[in-house]
Amino acid sequence: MTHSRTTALPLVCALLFTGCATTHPNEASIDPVDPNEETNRKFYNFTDVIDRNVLAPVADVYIKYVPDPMQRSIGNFYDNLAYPNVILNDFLQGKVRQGFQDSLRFVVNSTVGLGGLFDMAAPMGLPQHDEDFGQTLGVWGVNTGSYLFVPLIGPSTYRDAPGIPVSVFSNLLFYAGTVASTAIVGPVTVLSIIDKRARLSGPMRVRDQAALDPYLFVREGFLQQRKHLIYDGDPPPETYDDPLFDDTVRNEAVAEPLR
Amino acid sequence: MAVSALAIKAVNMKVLRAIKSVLQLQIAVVMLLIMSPSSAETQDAAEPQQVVNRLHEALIKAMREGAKLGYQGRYELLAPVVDQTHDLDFIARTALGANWSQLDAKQQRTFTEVFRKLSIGTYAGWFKSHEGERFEFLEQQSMPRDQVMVRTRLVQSSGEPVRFDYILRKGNDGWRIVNVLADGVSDLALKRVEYRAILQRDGFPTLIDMLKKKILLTEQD
Repeated sequence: MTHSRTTALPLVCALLFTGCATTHPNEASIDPVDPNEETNRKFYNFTDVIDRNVLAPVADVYIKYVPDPMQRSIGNFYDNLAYPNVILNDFLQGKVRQGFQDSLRFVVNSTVGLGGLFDMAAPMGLPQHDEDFGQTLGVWGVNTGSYLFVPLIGPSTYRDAPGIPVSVFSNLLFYAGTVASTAIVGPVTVLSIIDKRARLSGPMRVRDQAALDPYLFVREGFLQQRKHLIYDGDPPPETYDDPLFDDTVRNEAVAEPLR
Repeated sequence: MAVSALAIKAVNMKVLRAIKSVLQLQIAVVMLLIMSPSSAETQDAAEPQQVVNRLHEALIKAMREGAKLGYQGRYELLAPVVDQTHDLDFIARTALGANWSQLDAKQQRTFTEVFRKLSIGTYAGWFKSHEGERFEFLEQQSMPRDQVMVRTRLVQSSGEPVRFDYILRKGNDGWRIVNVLADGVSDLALKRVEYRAILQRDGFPTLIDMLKKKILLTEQD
C-alpha cells in the first residue's frame, strides 16, 4: 500500500503539472478566431509553395511584358464577366438603387465597352462596386466564424466560404464552356488566373516586406479588410477594435487572480 | 446763445463719444466672451487634422525628392516629423500588449528604439517616388475613449485610391497619431498579433532580430 502510494503521488503530481504545462500555453496560443490554425497553416504553406514556384513567376513576366493599358483591359474584361455576382449581392443586401446602377454598368460595359474591355460606365457616373455573398451574410448579421485558409484560393472564413461557389456560378466564365470550345475557354480561364494573381502582386509585396509571420499577417489583414468592405469603407466608430482597450481588459484579467 | 449752444453740443458730443466707447468696449468684451470658448474649441478640433496634414506634407516631399534624397535622406527628412506627429512610445507599448510589462527596462528601451527605426524606415521605404499622388482629407470623427479619427485617402494617378485613416490621442504633447488604418487594416492590430505570437514562440531576442531584418529590408528597392 505505502509503496504504491509513494509512487502514485509523484505520478499524480507529474500528470498534474505536465497537464498544466501543456494546456496552459495551448490556451494562450489558440486564437478564438482561428481554432484550426494548425491545418490552416499547412494549407497556407502548401499554397505559398505553389504560388512562389508557379504563379508568382508567371505573374511577374505578365506584369513586366504586357503593356499597362492591355493589363487594365484584361482586368476589366474579367471584372465584367464576374459582375453579375455584384449585382446579385446588391439586391440581396437591399441596395436596390445600387443594384440597378450596377445592372446598367454591366450593360454599358458589355456593349459600348466592347465586352467589358473598356470601363465606359465609370466616367458616366456608374462606378465599380465590391460586393459578394460573404459580405451579404455579414450585412444579414451572420458572424465571421472561424478563419479558414482555402488551399490555392486563399484566405476565407466560415462566413465567406459559401461565397466561393456563389461567385463561381454567377461568373459568366463558368457558362462560357457551354457556348465556346475548350480550346478557347481553357486559355481564357488560365489568363483569368494570371490576371488575378498579377493584381495581387502589390499586397503580396507588402506582405513580404512587412510580415514577421506571413500567415498571421495575411489572416489579420484579411479579416480586417473584410470588415471594412462590409461597411462599404465606412465602418462606424464603435466597430474599431481599440488595441488599447483590448490591453486593459487583458491586464485586468491577468491582475485579478493576484488579488 | 450761439456759444452756449455750441458748448452744450460739445458736451453732448463728449457724452455721446463716451457712451459710444463704453458700448464699443462692452461689445468687444461680449464678443471676446462669445468668441474665446468657440475659438478654443475650433482650434482644438482642427488640431488632429493639422497633425495629419503635417505628416502628409512630409510624405509628399519625400516622394517628390525621393530619388535625389535616397533612402537615408528620406529617413532623415521624415524622422523628426514622425517623432512629432506620432506617439511612438505609446504605439510600441500597445503593440506588445500585456507582454510589455514582462520585459525589463532595458528590453523595453531596446524594443522602443528598434520599433521607432522600423516605423520611420517603413515610411522612408514606401514613400520614395512621386507620380502625381496627393492626399485628400475626408472627415474627422470622434472615437470612443477620447480619441479622434482623421479619415483621408491617397489619390493615385492610376488605380484605386488608398484609404488612410489615423487614430489620434491627446497626450501631454497634444494630439498624436497612435494608429494608422490602410484600407481598413489596422497597423497596430496586425503588429500586436504578430509580436505576441513571436514572443510566445521564439522569445524576445528573436523578435528584435526579426525587426532589425525588416528595417534592413525597408532600405532595399
